[in-house]
Amino acid sequence: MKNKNLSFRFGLALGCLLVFIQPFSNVCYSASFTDEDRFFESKVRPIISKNCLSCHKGALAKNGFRLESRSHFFSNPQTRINLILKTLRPSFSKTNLDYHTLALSEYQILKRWVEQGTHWPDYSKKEIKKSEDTISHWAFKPIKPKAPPEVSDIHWNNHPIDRFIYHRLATHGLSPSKKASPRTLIRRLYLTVIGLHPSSDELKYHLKNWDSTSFEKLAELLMGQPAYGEKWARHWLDVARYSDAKGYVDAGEVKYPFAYSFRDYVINAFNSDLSFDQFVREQIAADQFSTSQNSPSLAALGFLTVGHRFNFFYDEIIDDRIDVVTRGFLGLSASCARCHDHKFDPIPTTDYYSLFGVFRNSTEPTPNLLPTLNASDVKPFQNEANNRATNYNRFRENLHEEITTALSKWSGDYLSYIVQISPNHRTKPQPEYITDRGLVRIKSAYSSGGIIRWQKFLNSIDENHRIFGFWKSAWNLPKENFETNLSLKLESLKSSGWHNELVLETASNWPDGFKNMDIVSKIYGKVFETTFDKLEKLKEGDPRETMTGEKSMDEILTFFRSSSSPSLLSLDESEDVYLLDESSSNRRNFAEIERAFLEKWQDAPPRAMVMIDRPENEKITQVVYKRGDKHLEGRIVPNIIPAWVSGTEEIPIMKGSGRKELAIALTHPQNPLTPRVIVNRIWEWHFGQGLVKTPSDFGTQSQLPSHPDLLDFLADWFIKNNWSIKKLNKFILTSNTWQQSSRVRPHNQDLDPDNNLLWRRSVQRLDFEVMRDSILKMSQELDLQIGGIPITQSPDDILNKRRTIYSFVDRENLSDVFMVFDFPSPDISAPKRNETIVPQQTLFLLNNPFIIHHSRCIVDKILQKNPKTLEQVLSALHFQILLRRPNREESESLLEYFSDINKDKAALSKNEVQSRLVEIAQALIVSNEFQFME
Amino acid sequence: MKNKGTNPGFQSLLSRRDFLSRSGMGMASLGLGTLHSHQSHGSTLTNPLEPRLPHFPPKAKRIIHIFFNGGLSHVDSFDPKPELTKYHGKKLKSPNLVTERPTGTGFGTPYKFQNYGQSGIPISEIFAPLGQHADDLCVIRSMQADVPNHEPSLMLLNCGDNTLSRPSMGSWLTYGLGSENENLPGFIAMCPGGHPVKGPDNWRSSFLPGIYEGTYIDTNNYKEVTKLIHNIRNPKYNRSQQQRQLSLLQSINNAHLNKVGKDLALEARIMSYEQAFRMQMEASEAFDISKEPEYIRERYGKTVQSKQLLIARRLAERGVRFIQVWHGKWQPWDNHDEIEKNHRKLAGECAQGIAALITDLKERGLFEDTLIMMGGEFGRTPTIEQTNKGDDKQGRDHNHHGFSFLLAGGGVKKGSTYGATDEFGFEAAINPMHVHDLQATVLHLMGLDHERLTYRYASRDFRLTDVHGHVVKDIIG
Repeated sequence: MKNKNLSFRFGLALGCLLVFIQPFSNVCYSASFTDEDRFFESKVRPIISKNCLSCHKGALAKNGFRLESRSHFFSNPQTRINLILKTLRPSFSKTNLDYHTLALSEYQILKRWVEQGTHWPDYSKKEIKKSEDTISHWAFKPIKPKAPPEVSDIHWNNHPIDRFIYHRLATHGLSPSKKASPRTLIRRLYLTVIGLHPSSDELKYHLKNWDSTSFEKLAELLMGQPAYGEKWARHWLDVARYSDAKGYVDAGEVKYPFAYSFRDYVINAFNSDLSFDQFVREQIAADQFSTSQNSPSLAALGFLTVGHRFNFFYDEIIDDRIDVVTRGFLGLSASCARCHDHKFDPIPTTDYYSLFGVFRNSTEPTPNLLPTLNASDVKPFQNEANNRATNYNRFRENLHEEITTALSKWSGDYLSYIVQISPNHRTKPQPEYITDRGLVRIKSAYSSGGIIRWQKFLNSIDENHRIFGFWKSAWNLPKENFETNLSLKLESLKSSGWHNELVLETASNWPDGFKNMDIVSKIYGKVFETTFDKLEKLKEGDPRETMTGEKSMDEILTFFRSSSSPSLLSLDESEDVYLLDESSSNRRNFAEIERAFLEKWQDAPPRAMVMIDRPENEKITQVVYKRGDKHLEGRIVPNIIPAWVSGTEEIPIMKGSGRKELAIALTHPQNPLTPRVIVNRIWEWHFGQGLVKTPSDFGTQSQLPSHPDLLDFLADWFIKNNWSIKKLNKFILTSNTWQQSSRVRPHNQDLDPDNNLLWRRSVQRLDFEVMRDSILKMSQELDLQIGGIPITQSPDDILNKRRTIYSFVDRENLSDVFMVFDFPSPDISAPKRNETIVPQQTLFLLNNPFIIHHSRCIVDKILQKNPKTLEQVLSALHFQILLRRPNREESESLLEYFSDINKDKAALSKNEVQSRLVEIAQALIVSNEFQFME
Repeated sequence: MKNKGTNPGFQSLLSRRDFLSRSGMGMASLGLGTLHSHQSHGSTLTNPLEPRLPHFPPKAKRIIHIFFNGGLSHVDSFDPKPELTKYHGKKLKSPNLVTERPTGTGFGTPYKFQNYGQSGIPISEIFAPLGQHADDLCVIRSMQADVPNHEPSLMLLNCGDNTLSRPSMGSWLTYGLGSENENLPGFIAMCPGGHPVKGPDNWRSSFLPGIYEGTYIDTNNYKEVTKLIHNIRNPKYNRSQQQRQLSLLQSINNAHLNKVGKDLALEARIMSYEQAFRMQMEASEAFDISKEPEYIRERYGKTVQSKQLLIARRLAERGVRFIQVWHGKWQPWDNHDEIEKNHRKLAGECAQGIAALITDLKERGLFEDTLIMMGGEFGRTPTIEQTNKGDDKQGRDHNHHGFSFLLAGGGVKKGSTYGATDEFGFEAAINPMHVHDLQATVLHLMGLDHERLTYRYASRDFRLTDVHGHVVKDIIG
């Protein structure tokens, strides 16, 4: 490299301080962007913003060179020339101009940019989808149900769903399939509605008097069983990215003690048929709508709080909450707007940060303060947890005090550091961050540091500041003749009588004069230490003392207690300044509170993982984080819920976090998205694919629905039926469309192989939960207990006999069987499950002891009834598992299985027969007829 | 049923018929004689691991990534810095860059370097066994990551993003290329004794279908194949029993298929039984290093690290797409203290095995199309680590500003170095190569354009390198 010049390294620009910030790079530019555009946006613009804009922006830009936009950059030719010169000839810039120092890597990026011709994208010419397109996008339009079309087939002209489906099929030259057999329908109903296979007895019972009313009666019967909620809750938990664990944490507790209270809430919501709009509101803001402190509905807030903890990075946690709310309820991915306005959907960055503010102004109480949902003996846990919480809080308070002291009494260290990183005033090759008192708090992975707080403050004041006016005057002086100029300045400040006397006096009496700016930081350091020392002395006499009685000292104390002081930070905010070790200790202390419950998990009464609003006086004013970087603060965002959330108009946040308004917006009667998205999900949970193929994406980039009129009809029907999911389920179940046979008809298969138009019921592989739970039920081992703490044994452990929904969902280390059977990653809200067919599934079915064990149980139960012949046993086995007697051919082939052993009953080794029966039972269980739903 | 896992951008490398015969399944054995008449619907075939064509002819077909987890010190291994030795115990003349913990004076390497081969690539004494292969190595000395912390840097290197849940490189590759051996997982991560930091996140499939997730193997248990791959062996039935059961099962399934009609999902499941049956044998075989001759085992050495490198070679031979070999549980290379002793010990555990692996691959003609990657999530500081109170420790802090990465085989430029750190080894100074650039280049070597290997999720097309990454042509041979 020609211009390798280490002087660039010396310029420890602000950028180096920010090195710990996770550079957020989830930029999602569209295909219309060229490589050059991307290079500029992802590499060059951040450097300019970080290093140049503090001086080269706005009307007062230094030397009139402005870099804030493309037009400014090109409007003054000298700007570009200067930048090129400086970039290509660093020595030139060093000798003739101010220091313009960049990290070496930044310099290299700029150099490449200059060499390639300073390409700065011109967005005025880009064809980015504009709002006119989005206004006309179908999903954003109001729901306008049309009457179902008349169709020629009288059997398909009754149910509205059938009329829409038939109509579309007919226009494509396709016809629907005939109704499936009663046996198939009964099995399908059981599997769909309660997620459990019918027993052979149940089947026999229902078939006995099967008539035209039986189907509907059975559907209702099943929807009334608690198992219904256990089946349907799991669908919602996929969307809610439910997990019993936090994901990777490098110190602290991985398990959530109370995530399961949310899971149980969802089960109960489905079983009690809580109206969906209410369900939405409770999950966002149950605390705002409920009157009771222990209302069971509070557990709904787990929707927000059971997400990934991203090793406690709060902005990632909030992003996850915005994501689950916007994709989960609205089918829109607002996360794209974190760094830039959404390129396709009408979601500007300011809206993203309005929502960000909503969640930042909501907090989570420590576990001991979470509301209990069950009043049984809370006390022993409460006391223990309270004690541990006291430790945690005390530790935090001590740290907070330490940090406050460091930022006030010892702020001389911070000022000195700021001097040493300033291109103009630094006196040493590198700043000292280790002082007599330990580290200046910039040096940790988790801290954005006191330095940034002080820098922000110093940038905000001018020479008229009573305490820092002297500092500011010195700061604004050039390095040349610094001492002379500052002495003159000091005299003039003194004569004005406006500034703090102690500061000016200490400066005047400074023994060695003002050789440089570093001395000024030492002067301030001394002033502050003297002041606080004095106060501490007085406090020894009277701890209530708050002032020294000396005017200029009290002015300083007053300053440090004022809202503009960099040292005034809330307990929460001080967390941002923790050092690495301190953060870890904090997490460990927090984990202790959680473990008060986890240690005796079984006995600990459930609590709701709530959020509560920040008190009004601690409310945080949210700003835009430019390009998603929380240290690049942009403008303040409005206190509103954006219009695209409600589908009508923006809703101002009057008080509190805004979660209440968010809940109202999501369920606004005119909101077109919330009802469309949920009815589409429910459709997908029935048929395996939605009317919209991307259930969590209804944005302008999504495909059109396969049946737009049906979707709107259903959405409207749903609202008119009080957002009742049970009613909607029954409505869908009773359609011919749902009850069609699965048989493949070659003509239709050729025209519509993916069955998009629903000419048959697609054959669906049973979800893992349905498969496993059904096997447990068949072997009569299923433990029907509802709810409670998660079962930590793996779902394929034979000791785990509960329904699969109760198995511990470990976000970081998801059980292998879950992975293999397409259980969705609980890291992110899942739009739908993948459906793969892979040999690992087959290996599980063939070899896992769980399957073999339960096959044996089934055989044992049949043998206990003392059947007379082998044929009888085989027939019973076949009937139990496949719900039909074997035909003659099948019977023969089953008997064939024993052909190599002597058929003479007396000679039959009982064990050998039994073990072959187990093999057969397993073969039936893993056969396609069982593993798939017709 | 839809196959939601396939990527429409790729064409099937093999016809379904090939697929069947390759996996040893004659038509007759499946009773699917009419299957190929349905090839018109082949686009929805539900085997997500089916081999697929890359975007352009690849240089490498598989990857072995040897992971120095915790962070290998580049100035002690592959990036000698004489100037640093001069500043040993003194303040460097340039500022210490900000890393996770405070660091103090310069800390010259305690090891000797020697130049090897015609290329004269310098290698530290602790990695001396690699010297014999110097002319096949490509040493990148200007790597950069974003932050000096393990978790985000592991995520960046493996998944392309510091914090968000994104699929790992092995998952992307198996998604993009499928697996060349349907009897083994396409992506295997080995680590002895437990998980590295961040555990399974390192080989997660995230929003890609779960089948692309890496299969984790604790190589401390390498002798028991049942502990290596779940459900690989039947606990009760012997082979003939299982065969008997399987043939009954297939007759039940075929009868069912005839009744329902040619449904692709049902057909796929039928095929997967044969596949699983074969997988049971092949997997046991693949991990059984006792099948190797004595001299080969000796060549690798006795440590658990060398054993897993031998397994890696056996897996590479069998067409596993991405093999990740972690040094050990948590982060063994994270030597904040006593680095001299620890780095020597760690390199001693793996250097011989790595050299043997390269020799072995060469002997088998696999070296040219196997890409070996060696490196950690970042490097270490040239300066000595200090406590919060400013006392010196005998180790080095994390360093993401500049570090080294080794490539070998798979079409990389042989006997070459690329880029450089500054005179002390603190920061990449010449040709900085960000982790995203490495990823783009590695995908390129595998025949994939990192901008075209995408997956649509949450309304946009995601890729391993997000919006970053440039293919560094200079390191391609």
